[in-house]
Amino acid sequence: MVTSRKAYLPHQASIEWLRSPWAILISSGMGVFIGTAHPQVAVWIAPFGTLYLGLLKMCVLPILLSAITNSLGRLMQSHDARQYVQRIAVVFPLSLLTVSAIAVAIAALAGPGRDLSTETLQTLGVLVNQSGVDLEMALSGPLPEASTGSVTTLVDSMVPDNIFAALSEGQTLKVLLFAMIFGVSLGLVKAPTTAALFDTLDSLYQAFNKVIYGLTYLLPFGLCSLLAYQLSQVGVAVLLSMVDFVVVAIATFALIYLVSTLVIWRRSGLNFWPTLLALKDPTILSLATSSSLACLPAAITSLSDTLKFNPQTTNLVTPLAITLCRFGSVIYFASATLFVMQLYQRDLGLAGLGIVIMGSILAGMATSGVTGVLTLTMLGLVLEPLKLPLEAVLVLFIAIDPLMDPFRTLGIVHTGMAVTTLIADQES
Amino acid sequence: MFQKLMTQSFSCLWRGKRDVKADRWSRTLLGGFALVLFLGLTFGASDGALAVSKAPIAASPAASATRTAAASSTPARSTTSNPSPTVLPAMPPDIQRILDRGKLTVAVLGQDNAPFFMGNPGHLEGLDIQLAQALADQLGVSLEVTRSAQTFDQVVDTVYGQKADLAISKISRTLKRAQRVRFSRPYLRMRQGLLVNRLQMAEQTQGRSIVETIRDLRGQVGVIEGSSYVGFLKQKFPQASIVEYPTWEDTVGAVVRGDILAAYRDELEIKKVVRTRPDAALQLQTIALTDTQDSLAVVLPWSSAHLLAFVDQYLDTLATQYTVDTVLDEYADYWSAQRLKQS
Repeated sequence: MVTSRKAYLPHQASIEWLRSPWAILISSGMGVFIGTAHPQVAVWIAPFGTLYLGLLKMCVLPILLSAITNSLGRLMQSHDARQYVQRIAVVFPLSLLTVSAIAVAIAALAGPGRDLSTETLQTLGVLVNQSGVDLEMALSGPLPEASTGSVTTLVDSMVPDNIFAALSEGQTLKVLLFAMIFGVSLGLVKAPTTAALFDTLDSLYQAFNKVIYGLTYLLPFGLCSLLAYQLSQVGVAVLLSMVDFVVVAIATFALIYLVSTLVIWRRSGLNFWPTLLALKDPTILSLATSSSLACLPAAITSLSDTLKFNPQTTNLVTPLAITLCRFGSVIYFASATLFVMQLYQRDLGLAGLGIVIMGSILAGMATSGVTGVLTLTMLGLVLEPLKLPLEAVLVLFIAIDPLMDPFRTLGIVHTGMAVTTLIADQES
Repeated sequence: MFQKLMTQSFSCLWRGKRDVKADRWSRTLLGGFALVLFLGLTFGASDGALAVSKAPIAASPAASATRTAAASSTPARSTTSNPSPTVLPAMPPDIQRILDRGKLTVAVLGQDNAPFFMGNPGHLEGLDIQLAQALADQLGVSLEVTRSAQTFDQVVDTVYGQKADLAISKISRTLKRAQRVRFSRPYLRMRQGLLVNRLQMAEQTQGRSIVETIRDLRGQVGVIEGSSYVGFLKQKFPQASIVEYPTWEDTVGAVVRGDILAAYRDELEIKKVVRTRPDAALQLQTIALTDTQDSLAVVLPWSSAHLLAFVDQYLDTLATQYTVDTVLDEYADYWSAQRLKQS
């Protein structure tokens, strides 16, 4: 870890400079400049970002499998398991409720989507029309397959009937469940032979951590390319029409980021500045990659290596918090539902707000099995019980998603880390 | 040919022998002849087949030569028999009438209906007007538009009474109209459509997909009073309750306000609503029913058989087939200009 300010100066250790905040700052500045001023250059340099993201994601499944199996197995052997399971069972639901309630409260107070002007409605309507949401259907014949998300898809996406298929298709939830079952059963085997397997898993984990560490030297380049491409994809006209929603959502994310940082800081017992420095890597990675899984190794490393939380607990709880709790999605769905409510001038009352809080948690957690635009369709899980239509607003959310996705990812990763610190103890 | 020769020669031989009156011989000869005849037939047939297959090659130059001779001889004969070469064969009467008049009379509904026909009398525009102008140009005459009719059925009556050569006026092909007039091929194939209030719809779905909900449509559906869609609605959505409105604007207004669940009309009018009123697009869902149809065609008097063939052929040669979306796209500028004028 870097401790002295002098280390950030570029004339020292040339290659190490790539890991300094200055390099990050400069590259993100370049990314923003290219993305906004020269979108065509952004598209041109986009393959480098994809390459970087691909390398990061390459390490995720081995780390997920080895970290969870290893830590859960050792936990079972050390007989502390019950204590941690209890903590997880209390902290996860409570933190989800808190986060969802904060998001609903902010959105209800700020009221995005309330009293929109006719011009704004026209801009939004033109966008809805352009994306061709006309439905073409036959009055007879077989019913088409429904493609909307539901709770059953979450259950379906959790149980792997073939772990190798799940691994080769990158179905994270299935791998997660397998790793947990494997880890528990491995811990229950009271034979000395398991030590060899634990060591193997440990070396696997260490090896991929080295890769992740090596990749941080490439972060400035990847960051610049990813940021530029993302920004070049944001439609400015839509953004302006939905500006009040965007501002409220980002403010909510910022507030919850701040609260999470404070939690991590209090739990780590370090000074504020070193805590912030330790959180730098996962934060920047989430904003740049928009992929919570790609940030998982960085999150574990920063919690266990830099902030000195118990590595075993961190290895277990961080992946669980990031893949299952999906705080960012919960926050986003809560704000989005309130926006839709106010857009359609529906007054829900307190009971309705309760449904939003619970529905957002459910919908947010349901996003753990899916990627891309399907993530946003999970919004239907909240809107349907409230009898609000999804299709038209979905188009709007898809349009601003290049901007919102990084913040959502940051919410997932950062809040997940904060929750982990609530469960894990510090290394003595 | 060879076969024929053989039979002839043999029969001559046979008659010769009979002259000698040798009966015993004749019987043996008959048997021998029969054998030879059989052989001759068999070989002759195959030979003949060969000859036939060869024949066209050999014959074709001769035949073409004959044809050219005939061709060259015919005008010669006609000039001699027909002293005045300027008289052409008579034109079909329905075309001749238009050519004599020097203009094509097209009946169009009195009220504007964008994007089909709109504008002031001096400057009409729209898809139907374009088509009418193109037909007139192809006939080499000028175009005259009569707009006396106030309803679509009156337009059909105008054509039936031969007060116009044809009508292009967003007229749907229906069997009832087809009893009195002739329809061309459709120039725009449309389907029936529903304009649905999304909020009202969300109330109705109850966990079902939107397709299921529409197939079992319950609730209030608006149609234009007395239009053919009243009947369609009873037929396609027996569970829905019918609300009739005097005009389409009233119907659309009721859907936007959420007074009724949906409005029912042709696909183009449905899609036109969300295009012309984008601020209401968030409230509205358009649905095209793929197994229904509402096709627009040119209307002609039942006696104008040749003009019908002419119109059909012209529609066949059109490079692009119009669809609802291409028509709406083509006239998108027109509506944005209208909106600017209103505001």
